[in-house]
Formats: sequence, structure tokens, C-alpha cells
Amino acid sequence: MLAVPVIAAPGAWPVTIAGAAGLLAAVPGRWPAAGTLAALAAMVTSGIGIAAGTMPLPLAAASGTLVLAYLLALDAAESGLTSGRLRWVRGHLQVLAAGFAAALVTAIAGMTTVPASPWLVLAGVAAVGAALLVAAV
Amino acid sequence: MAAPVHDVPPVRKPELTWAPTAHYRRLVTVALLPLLAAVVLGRLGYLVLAAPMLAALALAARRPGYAAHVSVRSSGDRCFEGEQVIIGVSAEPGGPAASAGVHLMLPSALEVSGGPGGRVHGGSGSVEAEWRAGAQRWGRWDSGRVLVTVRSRGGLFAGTVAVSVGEITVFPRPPSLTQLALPAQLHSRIGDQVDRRTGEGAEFAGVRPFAPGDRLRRINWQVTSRRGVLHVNQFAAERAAEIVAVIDAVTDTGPPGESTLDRAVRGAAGIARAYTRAGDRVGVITLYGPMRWIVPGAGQRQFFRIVESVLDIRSLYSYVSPDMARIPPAVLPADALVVMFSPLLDERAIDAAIDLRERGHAVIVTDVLATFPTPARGSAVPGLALRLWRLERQALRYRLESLGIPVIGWPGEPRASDLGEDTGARLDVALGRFARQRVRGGAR
Repeated sequence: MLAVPVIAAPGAWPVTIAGAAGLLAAVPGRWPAAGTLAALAAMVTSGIGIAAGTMPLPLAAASGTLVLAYLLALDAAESGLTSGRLRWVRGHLQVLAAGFAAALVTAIAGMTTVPASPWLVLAGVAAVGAALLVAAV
Repeated sequence: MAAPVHDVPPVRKPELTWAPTAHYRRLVTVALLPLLAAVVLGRLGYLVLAAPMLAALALAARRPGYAAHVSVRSSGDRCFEGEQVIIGVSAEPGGPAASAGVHLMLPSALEVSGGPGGRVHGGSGSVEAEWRAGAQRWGRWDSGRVLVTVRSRGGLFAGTVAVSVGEITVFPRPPSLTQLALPAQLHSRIGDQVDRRTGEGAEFAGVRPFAPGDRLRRINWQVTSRRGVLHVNQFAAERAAEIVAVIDAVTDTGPPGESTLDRAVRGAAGIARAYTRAGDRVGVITLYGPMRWIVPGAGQRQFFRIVESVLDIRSLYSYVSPDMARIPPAVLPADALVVMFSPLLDERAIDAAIDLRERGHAVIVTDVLATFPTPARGSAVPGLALRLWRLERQALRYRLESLGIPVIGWPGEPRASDLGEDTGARLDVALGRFARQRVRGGAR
């Protein structure tokens, strides 16, 4: 996924190299901040791909989910998880699925051309209000 | 040897202090970049990249507020140096959690010698851990704290709380003494030490002519038949010795655990244990300015009274010169043997030893200094300075010995690995020569 913008846009190469270096440096116990830098590099690379038009939005959604999976794995390594790995994977599959679903919905919304309508604005405001209520309970 | 862990430890419910984890901050940072790009550049497509991170944040963004059930138990609150204490912990999150962990933080006087190292992790349920901590240095110490960490489900928040294990009293490890130095005059109380006076003991002391009132069973028939006159056996009296250990707390130098005060207290504990076991009476005087003392007494209880009384002397300090005239006669009986443990670095302590001798007490000074000064780096005459210092020490020893105060060197007991090679360093050996040749007090 991340290779698509790298192949198509030479401008993404330095960022990709920096991200790969960060990935190696973030091997557990060495330099945890490098993991964040690697994830940011992946975001920039994907952003370059989206801007260049070489990365379709569904692929960008998968790319974002991959970055989320990497961040979850980084957290597991940092917190010294030694037992119950299978349970951890099961617990985080839900997070990954939710993340991917959110990205896909955003991608579909991005690809869909909707004519301007006051009902849509109202529906959006109602959704925000409902979300706030759910969060407050 | 460690004692078994107490059966019913109290369960505490300390409130956890919740804070965002590094994972939370990382998700926010990585989500913010495409969000900002989407807003600044006006491209909805960038939001697709941020959406997975935002979803993960939304799923577990609520800060939990539950407490933890923590139970800390210890095998005991008293031990001797070198012994082990078992510290056990069980912690259970009071709500849904991704994981729980415990980490033991010990003071410098205790050292983990067995059990899991570092942090112990459990699953979402309870976590249990047990450590063995070796007592390294005498004193009253905080037994340490157990840091309990609970990660919320989703791993975005971590709740931490530090629970105290309690207090522990570490008694000084007394060196083993088998040969007991004795004063020339023994106390009038009945004890186990053979006196030079004759009495009702079991040790044969000589033969003398029969006198009215002598028991017939004491007649020595061999001597009587040889001399033709009735003779009876005489026996040495058995009396209790009175020993006063003086701890010089005016100066303390050396590495922690092996400082002069550490050794002085261990030496005094050794004296107290050996003499109380022999049925003698032991007291202690702590010399640091306004002095403290324990009146001589006998028995195992007296030993613990003495070692408990010296546990907090590290914190004592005073500019006042110790005045031996303040000590009541009951604390320092005239026929007591005084064994002073001092590094002989402060004039106030040296003067106190001389003062005691001039008052007619039998005094032995045990020099507990094991280190020597290091000459300054770049010094032109480092060797000469050290030689001068050593000569001054020798002159001081000579001065004390000429006043009738024998000085013995005791730089601490050899470690177990050194035993058999350096037995000369043992207090038992150093004091042994006074077991054969009793220490005289009185006027010089």
C-alpha cells in the first residue's frame, strides 16, 4: 500500500527512507519516539500519494489502518506484554475493524458527490448532538 | 532464612491516579497531521488517513475512575542484617482493564535477592508477585513501596498508585565472639565467669589447711595423708562480669553499610550478645554529645534492648562535647570493663576514652577505621602525606596505650569468602588476648 506512492512519486522517497530508519530505530527498547516518526512518515508518504492521485481513497483507508495496527503493536511491545498475546490480538481486532470501517466510510463520503441540501446539514448537526449525548452518558 | 509470609494481609483499595499513556499521545499526534493537512489544504481525502486513529481514540477515550484492590504482605517487620524478608503483592483492578502490573521499589538498605526482577505483568485480572529482599544495613527503614499500574481497556489511560509495604527494623549482625575479655575485678553477682577470689564455684583453685566450719567432703585426702594435717580443696568463685560497650557516634566515615558507625554498632551488638549469653551484665553508652545509655543488665532481653536503642543513632549529631561526668554510676559501675568502638578521629571521643581510664575503669578501645585518606590528585607528595597520617595514628595509639588503654584494630568482620584467609580481622581474635590476660582498671 505504502509502496504505491513511493513508486509513482519520487518526492516521497526521502520521507520513506526516513520512515524506514524510524521503523528500525523503534525496535522495542531502543528509541520509542522513532515509532511515532515512522508512523508520521507513513502518513506523509500516503498524503503525497493522495495529492499525486496515485493512491485511491480505499487504499488510503487501508494504509491508515496499517499505521494504526503498527501503533497498536508498538504499544504492546512497550508495555512488555509477555503473556496472553492471543487475547490481546482478539481484543485489538475490534479496534482495527472499527478504524478500517471509519476510514472506509470517510473514503466513500469523500468519493460521493452530494448536492447541497439543508436537510443534510440538519442531519449532520443532529449526528453531532447525538454523539455528544452518547459520550456524556 | 526468611520467615513465612503472614496469612491474612489487609486489602487496601487505593485510588488510582489516571493519566494518558504514550499510546494515547502517539495516536493523537499521528491523527493530527492528516487532520491539519485536510483543513489547511481543503482536501477531504486526508481525513481518510486520520479516521482509523480517531476511531481508536473514540472507542476508549473515556477516562476510567475505578480503584484497585491491593494487598501487600511481608514475612516480618524485624530481621538481622543478611537475613531475607519475603514481600508479596497481589493487585486486582476494580474495573475492566487491559493489563495490570506491579513494581517493587526498595530503599538502599534492602536489596532484591530473589523473585521477579523489575515490573511484573498480569493479564486483565489480578497480578501476583513475591520477592525476597535481603537486609543490607541495620536501622529502621521504610520497607519500600509497590507501584501498581493498571492500563485501561484500549490502553489509552494508565492508573498508578504507590502502596507502602511498611516499616522494617534491621538489627545489626553481631560478630561471633567465643573468647570473652574480662575485667580484673568481677561483679559481686553470681555468674559464669571464674573469679580470682575463692568461693563456691566448680573450678579448682588450690589447697589450704582445714578450718572449723569447712565441709568434710572438701577434704583432700591425698594432701592430708602426705602432710599429716587436714587439708581442704578451694574453689574459685563464679561471678558475673559487667561490660559496657561505648559507641563513638561523634564521627562516621566510610561507605554506607561499612562505615565506622556501622561497624561500631555491630561490634557493640556482638559484645552484647556474647556476654548476655554467658550470663554477664552488659550496658551500652552512645557517645555523640548529649549521651544516651542503657544500664547494664543480663539476659536475651537486654541484648534486644541494646540493639533497639542504637538503631536510630545515624540521625544523631551534636556539637556538644560528651561529658563522661554526666553518666550515672549505675550505668558505668566501677568494676566494669569498658569496650569502646571508635575510629579515633575526633578528639572528643579520644578525650572520653582517656577520661574513662582516669576515672579508674578498665578500658579497651577498638579502632573501627578501615579506610585511609586518599591524597589529593596532583599532590606533589602524596606518599609523604599518607605516611605522616599513619605516623600520627601510631603516635595516638602509643599515647593511649601508655595511659593504660589497649587499642585493638578491627576493620570489620571478614566476608564469608575470606574466612580462613584473613581471620586476623575478626573481633573474636582481636579481643581474644584479653581473655587470657584480664584488663586492669584502677588508678595508674
